[in-house]
Amino acid sequence: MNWSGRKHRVIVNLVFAAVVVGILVFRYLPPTVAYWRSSEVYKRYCEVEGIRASYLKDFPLNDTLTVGVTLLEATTDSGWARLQEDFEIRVLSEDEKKELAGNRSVGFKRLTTIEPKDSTERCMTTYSREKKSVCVFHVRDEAQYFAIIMYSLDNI
Amino acid sequence: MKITVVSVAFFVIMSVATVGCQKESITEDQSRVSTMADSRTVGYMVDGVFQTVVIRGGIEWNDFMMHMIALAEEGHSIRVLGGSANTQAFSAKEKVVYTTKDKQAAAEWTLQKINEGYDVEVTYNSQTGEYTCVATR
Repeated sequence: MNWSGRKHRVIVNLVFAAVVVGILVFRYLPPTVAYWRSSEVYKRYCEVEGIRASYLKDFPLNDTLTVGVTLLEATTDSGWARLQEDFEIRVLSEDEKKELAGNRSVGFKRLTTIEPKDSTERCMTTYSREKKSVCVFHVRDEAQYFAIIMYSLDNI
Repeated sequence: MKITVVSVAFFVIMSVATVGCQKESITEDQSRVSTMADSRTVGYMVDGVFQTVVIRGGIEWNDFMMHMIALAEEGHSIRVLGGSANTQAFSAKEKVVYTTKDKQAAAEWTLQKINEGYDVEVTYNSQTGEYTCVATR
């Protein structure tokens, strides 16, 4: 086999592999959106030290419902303190901490302090003290509220 | 040469102004210390950890505030309370508790309380299989 034939076959194989990888990446990457299409909450926290922010446009709650969600994870104690303060997460007393010790928990708040994107959007927030994280769900209908609660309890 | 000097001066001025604007101010709107005359127990939080200190006069109060300012400048989150500071300051005024082993019932109760204006925290005990829902406002 001459060199040009082999070279031609290598190029074809590389192009084919690149196409396959591209399809797999496009198919299985989480549906993250560009910054300018993300939520106001994401924009507020994406550059805050001690907090890792991410936004998913169509997060699946179950087989039929999806919802936009901004996830805020504290990577430092001061980051968690900032989230507790900003989202008015109640600080537990020592007795309450002892009662909760060893158990998993999730908190729910329907916030009015976050600016909705438009008149059809409401925000529901869940938080986990163990994971030091806050999820802001961008809700557009009542059915999503119950689905968010069920999803959170499934993953408590 | 003149342009270089002016450019450097402009850059220095902008850098100083930028750094100055980035300094975070201490939020003291939550402070509830009324007087400094008597010995007071002051509650405060550093990075979300609640602590108390007894302050017996103006000098100790001044030292305490300087310490809080220094912590804030280091980037810590500071909140100061006063008066009868204790963990009750963070407790909810109204609390309703519901316990069930049925996840659907826990979810329905949670949604109902949220619609009534409560915040709800659900704890799952894996040993008993119980969901304890605490609604507060």
